[in-house]
Amino acid sequence: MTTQQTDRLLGIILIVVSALWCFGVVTTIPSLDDGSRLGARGFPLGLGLLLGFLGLLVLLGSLRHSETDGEALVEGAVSASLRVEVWAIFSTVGLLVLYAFLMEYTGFVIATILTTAIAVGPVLRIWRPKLIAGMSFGLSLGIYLIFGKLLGVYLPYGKLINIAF
Amino acid sequence: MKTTRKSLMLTAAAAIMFAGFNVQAKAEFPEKPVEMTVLFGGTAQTIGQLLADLMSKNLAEPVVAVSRTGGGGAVGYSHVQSTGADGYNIVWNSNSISTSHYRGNMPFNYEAFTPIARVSVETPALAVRSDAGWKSLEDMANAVKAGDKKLKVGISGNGSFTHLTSAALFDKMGIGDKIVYVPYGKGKAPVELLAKRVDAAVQWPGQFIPHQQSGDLSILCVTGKDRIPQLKDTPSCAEVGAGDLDITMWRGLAAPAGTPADVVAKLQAAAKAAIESGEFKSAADKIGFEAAYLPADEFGKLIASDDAVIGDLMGKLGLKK
Amino acid sequence: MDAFYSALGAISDPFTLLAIVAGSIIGIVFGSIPGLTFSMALALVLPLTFRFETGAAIGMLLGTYIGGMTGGSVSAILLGIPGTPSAAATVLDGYKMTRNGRAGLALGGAVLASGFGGIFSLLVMIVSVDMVARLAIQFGPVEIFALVLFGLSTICGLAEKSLIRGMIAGIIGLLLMTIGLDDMDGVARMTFGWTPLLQGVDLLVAMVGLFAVPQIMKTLIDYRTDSAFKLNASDIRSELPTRKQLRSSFWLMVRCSGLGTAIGSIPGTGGPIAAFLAYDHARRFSKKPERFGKGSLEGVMAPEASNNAVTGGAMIPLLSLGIPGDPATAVMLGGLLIHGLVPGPMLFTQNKPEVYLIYLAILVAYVAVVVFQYFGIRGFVKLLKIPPHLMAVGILIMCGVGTFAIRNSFLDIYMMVGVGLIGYLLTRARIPVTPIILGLVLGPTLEREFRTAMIMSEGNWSIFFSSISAIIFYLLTIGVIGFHVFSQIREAKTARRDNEQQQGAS
Repeated sequence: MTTQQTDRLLGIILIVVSALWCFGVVTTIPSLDDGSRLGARGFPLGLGLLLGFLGLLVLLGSLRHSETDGEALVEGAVSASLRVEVWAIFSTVGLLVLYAFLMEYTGFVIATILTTAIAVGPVLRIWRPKLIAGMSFGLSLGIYLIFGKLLGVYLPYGKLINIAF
Repeated sequence: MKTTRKSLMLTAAAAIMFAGFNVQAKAEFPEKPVEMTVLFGGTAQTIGQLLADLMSKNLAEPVVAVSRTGGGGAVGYSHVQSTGADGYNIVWNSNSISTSHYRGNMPFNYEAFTPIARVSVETPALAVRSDAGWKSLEDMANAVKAGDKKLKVGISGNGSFTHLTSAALFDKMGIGDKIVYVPYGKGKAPVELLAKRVDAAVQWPGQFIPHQQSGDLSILCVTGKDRIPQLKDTPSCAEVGAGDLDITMWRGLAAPAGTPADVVAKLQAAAKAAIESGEFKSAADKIGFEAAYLPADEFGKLIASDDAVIGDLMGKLGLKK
Repeated sequence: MDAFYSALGAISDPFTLLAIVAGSIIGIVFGSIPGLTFSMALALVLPLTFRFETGAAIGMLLGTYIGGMTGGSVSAILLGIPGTPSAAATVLDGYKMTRNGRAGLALGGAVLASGFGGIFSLLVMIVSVDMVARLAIQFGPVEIFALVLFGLSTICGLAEKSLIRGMIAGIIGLLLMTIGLDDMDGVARMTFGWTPLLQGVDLLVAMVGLFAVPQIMKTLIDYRTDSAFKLNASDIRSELPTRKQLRSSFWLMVRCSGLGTAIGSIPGTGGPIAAFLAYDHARRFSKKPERFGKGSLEGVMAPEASNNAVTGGAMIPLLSLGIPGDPATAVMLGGLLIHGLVPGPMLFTQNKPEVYLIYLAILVAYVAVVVFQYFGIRGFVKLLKIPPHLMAVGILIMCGVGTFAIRNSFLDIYMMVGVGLIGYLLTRARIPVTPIILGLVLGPTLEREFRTAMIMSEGNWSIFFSSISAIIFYLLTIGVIGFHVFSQIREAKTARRDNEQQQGAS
């Protein structure tokens, strides 16, 4: 994608987000405004509109230049790496969501062991048993002892099952 | 590849084995730690932690104070309400159960919980600057009635407990329509009063006492029926012209509705022992809470009657949804 | 003088000293881990101190507070993820220095600046606690609103090329913070009736998301494309700032510490604002402004001096008025009260020995923190020898645990991921991330003070121009933005002229 194309997309997205946001503000935030002061609505509504206006500026700016002017994005130029980028985004988001989900239902210890093992094995594809076992147990035990026991941080307790060292 | 699969399986197997260590048959409550959800930070959290600590001494398993702040308490109430009614999740609650509900921020009300015990009460106080020349509540009310300017009163937030208290107080004094409520978060109201940006403030006594001692502020009255131990020389508002005004904020413990009676009884006994210990009493005194144990049934009646009063007040103020 | 000697006696008690040192270490640990902050550390330490003697209890709390404030710089510099909100400005140049192989220098500069800022603010507190407190309370809603507006103008400096893009980022930050329960009116905003969302977007949650999530993604990309950023073992030196470097930034540190003390003493402001203003100030008045954002030591020392000066500053209203300025000092207040010390005007007459004890404890805590961190640098730097992709796994786990621990909420972890994803996509659309942080930090204060002022004036806008200090801040804001726009236009003109000349020549 060229910078013009990303800018055009950005501008459109910002305008859409701004419209949705303002709609949400008007429909969900009760207005206690008695006319004499700015209520709970004023700030989010004003900022939402401003966001839309700035989005419009970005969009207009991208339209003003002709398409030939557009230089290819430096990062985007390596289009083969786009697949890697998508993979990285999905892996990171997926691992964190998995971790949160596991912590809620299986508690801290199981969640940490499993998430670390999956991150090192299937995601990073480092199939070294000792490393996988060492890191997953090491991290889990280390955090459990130092934070959970020594410093008294509350670590999640599983809803379905829970184990502790 | 094969060895890796094996190592993963080993990992899982080991995890399950560890699980085995903790599974022991203990028939009696509690067989695992009890989670006490704390809804607010600051001194309420401090007292909650101390209470959990002391209760742990009277139960087979510890009580863990877990802070779930946000949403004016609604977030924590919703969490506890959604857990099983087995006594392992209790909430360090307060009148905020009623204010949050009537404000439209929680789909359920106090009936979603079964009371365990009342722990403490706090009484808001009304203070003005000493140089304002108002010696009593009546002085102030008369001055406001006579003048054409509105009185600016610092409170904690619109719809907050201090807001309701002051509204009820000024209504009784007949100056309810000449007040501008200025909401400040996090205990800032006394500074605003000192800096002359507001004319009066309704907050917790602890925030005013040092400034009264230094002569900058004077506390006109406290909003309960009786005087409070911290301020023996300060009259209650009811004594000095506010009719039958009696508003105090309680804090206590509650569990999701449907928790078995024997479990509630155990928790109540642990709470009673903790509240009546010397350590709790002295800490509560210093922080500005009054330790005030009430058993579950009486506490339940209090919650219900206060809920009606708060609902009524908020309706009058147009804050009810 | 008797009071001073009795304080000296109390502080030299081995148990008290041990408590201060232990507190400092706990603080550094919590401060240096993203998601865990000193506010949380203080809340956890507080119950321990119930049974301590007054001196040990206060010492431990102060040590935790101070250790936490300085500890935030460690992960900001080494990992590019601020450990505490106050260290967000430290990332800008600190992490760049690490990438240039100068992590040791950055850490050393940061810790020395921290100690300097802290002790500077302590001296201000000792000398003029009463005067500063009286001045600070003159800062009402209007003045704080104006100050925060001025703080937002630093977006200009952080916006890199385009002011519009910087503003977009800032507004996204401001909008995020409006989600949840509105404290002033007690109504839900943008929660669509879903109770758990009432808790809103926590500043720390959003910050961990914005800094850590993109960092993990980038590490994974580098790992897969084999373009991993590698530091040779020989590049990782634990070089420390030279005396010359320190001497040349002495006055900068003095100015930034003064700024931090002043901002800290105004209740309801705090560390992050002070740090960003100090960073902007340092860049504006630097002899080498072009080095900023590329690894300037001044860019690390300025925010660190300033955010640590906030600790002393924040103690001023706490001790002399009993007003906690932030969640951390609110916990401190609880600790003081439990030991029978009632902060307020009478504290300085009734509890003289304890007041001296607090001063001495702050001093000892700073010495302990500086010594620990300075000699820990060699150890911290070793962290960089861990392969980045494995480090990323560890960061991922710590972010999950840390984000959860802030409010014991699983929703916070999902929010962290969401904000992080948005942050990453925005950087791909060339929107800078730092202004988002500024919006997050300043947004709630900006809105609250604005609305409070409007309520106080009963809807009369003239209140915003009723104070001279506020007007000065407005003028400064206009000046900064005007200067920025003007120089951008000039730059664009020269660029166009150069272009035409080149074309003409060819």
